Amino acid sequence: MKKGFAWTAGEPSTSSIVVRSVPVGLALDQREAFMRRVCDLWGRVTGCSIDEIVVTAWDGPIPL
Amino acid sequence: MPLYRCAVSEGLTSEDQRARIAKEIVRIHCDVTGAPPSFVHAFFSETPAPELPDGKVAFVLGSIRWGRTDEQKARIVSELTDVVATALGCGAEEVGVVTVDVPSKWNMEGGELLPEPGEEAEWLARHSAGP
Repeated sequence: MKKGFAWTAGEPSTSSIVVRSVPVGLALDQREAFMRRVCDLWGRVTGCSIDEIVVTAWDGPIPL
Repeated sequence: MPLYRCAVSEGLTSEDQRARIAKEIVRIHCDVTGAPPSFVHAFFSETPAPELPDGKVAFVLGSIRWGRTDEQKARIVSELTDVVATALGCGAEEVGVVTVDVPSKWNMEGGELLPEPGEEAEWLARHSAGP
């Protein structure tokens, strides 16, 4: 993402937002485990800190 | 979370305009919901005009935590529409704003599931304490 296009708390953001579709009604423990694995992978590959990763596990098709 | 995704017509916005809108998103969302500012993300993408909804030059999709009232959501939509239109110098009818409710537990930040609205203090205390 280009500089000047991402903001957190109104300031330039260094966060990554990862929004993924998961099966509708996925159990919370599986959903949490999935998001944790995404966080681990993302941090390992990009080198960003855990506080810079936001993951959403969305039921079904993602809007927009 | 919340995450406000702002699709704007290609070449329409400057960094200053996006910064202004991002700050206003924080102000409006936090005023209306009481959420902490550090939770509020605003991401922009430039979109070819034909891919935006009919007649719109900007379209904002706010994914907000489930539990807000209809009145709160209506205020967010109304105030944000005005702010974006003012920042871009266009008419309010050229701006689309929609919110969608997302359960807190569908989201992870800082390696933890997000707290429910109104239960943020403990979560924030853990995350401001540092490693």
